[in-house]
Amino acid sequence: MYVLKLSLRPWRRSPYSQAFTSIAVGVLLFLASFLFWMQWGLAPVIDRLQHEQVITAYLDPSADAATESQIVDTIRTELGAHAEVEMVKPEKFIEHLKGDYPDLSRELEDLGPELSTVVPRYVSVSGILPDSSLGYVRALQGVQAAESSTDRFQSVIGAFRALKWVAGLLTLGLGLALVTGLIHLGRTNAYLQQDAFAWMKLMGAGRNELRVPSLLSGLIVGLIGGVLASLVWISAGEWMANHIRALSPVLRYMTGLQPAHASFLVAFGVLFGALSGVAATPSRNGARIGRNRF
Amino acid sequence: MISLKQVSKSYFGQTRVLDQVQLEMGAGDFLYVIGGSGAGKSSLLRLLATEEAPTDGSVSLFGYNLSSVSPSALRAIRQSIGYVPQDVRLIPDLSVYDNILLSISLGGSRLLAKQVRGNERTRINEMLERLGLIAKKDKPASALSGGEAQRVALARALIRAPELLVADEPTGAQDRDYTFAIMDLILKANLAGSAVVLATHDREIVRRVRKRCGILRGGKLELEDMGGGLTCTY
Repeated sequence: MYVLKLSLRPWRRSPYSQAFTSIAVGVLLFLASFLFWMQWGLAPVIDRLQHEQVITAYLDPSADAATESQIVDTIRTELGAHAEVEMVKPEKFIEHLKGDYPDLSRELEDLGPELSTVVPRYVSVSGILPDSSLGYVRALQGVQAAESSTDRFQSVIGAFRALKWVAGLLTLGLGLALVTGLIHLGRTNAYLQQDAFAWMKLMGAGRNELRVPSLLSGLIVGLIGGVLASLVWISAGEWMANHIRALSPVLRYMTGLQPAHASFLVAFGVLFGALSGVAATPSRNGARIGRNRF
Repeated sequence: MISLKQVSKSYFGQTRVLDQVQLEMGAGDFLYVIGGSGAGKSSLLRLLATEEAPTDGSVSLFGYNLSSVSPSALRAIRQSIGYVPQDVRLIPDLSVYDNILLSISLGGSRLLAKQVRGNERTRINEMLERLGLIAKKDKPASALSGGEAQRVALARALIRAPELLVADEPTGAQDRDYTFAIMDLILKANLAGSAVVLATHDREIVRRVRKRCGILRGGKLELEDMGGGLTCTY
């Protein structure tokens, strides 16, 4: 019991330092975890952008309706699990144009029966496709030409990679600030406990006996910080994650934030707190005995 | 048990507080250390409590020369010493009970019989009862008067049944009744085998409880035996 009382002494002697550090630990832990989630959650987005492509397969003008269906069915059978396959006829193409280019669509409609010779028919295949897909589509009978939009998201992928890298760096920085703050508190606490540690050492306390109160002091601060971080994670984490995912349609592929992961924050708080308590090494900071000591 | 050879002590290169002190004591021996203010009594006791190292000479306790002792042996030596410093040094936020419990939890000497280990609560209560502190058991040490704190410091030292009791003026802030209650406890520990080094200003104690006596004069320790008709005055 006296060990617990010794570890709670810093709360009596400098309660504001302990309280503010606990809050700071909670904030830093939450921010570091949220940035870690961002870094982790962006991976599927980047992966999707990297591998998603749209293959446009232009049909031979001589291909009849039966051939059209056959080509669509063949592609759907071969790539259907990964892709959205759509047959785009001239009329549908003009429908797509109407929104952005109403004049052009009107001129094309005015072509009448010649429309089918001016506006190509094509099959649009989109999704995360194997690298061999383009070659496969090109080789199909009735397909005149095919092209792929691979690498069209290169600039976006680059931007997301940069964001992921910065998020990782910030996570590391926040983690470092967290541990540094806790170690600094541990050293301050060891100084506050100097009288007790000096006396304990003179009574024959070993290094471990001197470390236990510091370990518990750090653990208590880490625990409070971890609980605060987990409460914010549960109450506001999902809202913040949804807010970020709503910023762009691409971001909807980000991994979801799990409220259940809040327990990890408590565990990390306790772990960091305890380790920083040990790292504060009271045997060096707080237990110097007398002048010309043994 | 205690061997001081040519021990000198000076602080910051100033005049020697202790000068070529020689002392030999065995288990169960008792020594008063007396002398005027600033004679070096507390310095000598701090050396014996392993709190400080000498400037010159060697201090050996329990057969170990402290200048070359390993950290683990030094810990074992410290666990065998009961030290009552002049400034008591209780941990102010801990209760009286916890201050004493801390002392015994950090180890006791081989004199601490196995049957009393694990029975700390009863032993602490008995000790506090004898020193008139049972009502203050759960009070924080910071709430004690000077005399009470001094008695707690003694209880903290005696509870671990030390092989060597080093007490620096343990009765300095006590009234007559408590002075003799304290001396009674110290003599009991001495009879049980503890060597005792006790610094005091109290001539009455020295006169009534006649033991070997060391007088510090000009940094030198002069030993007298009260049994031989010497007066032990300074």
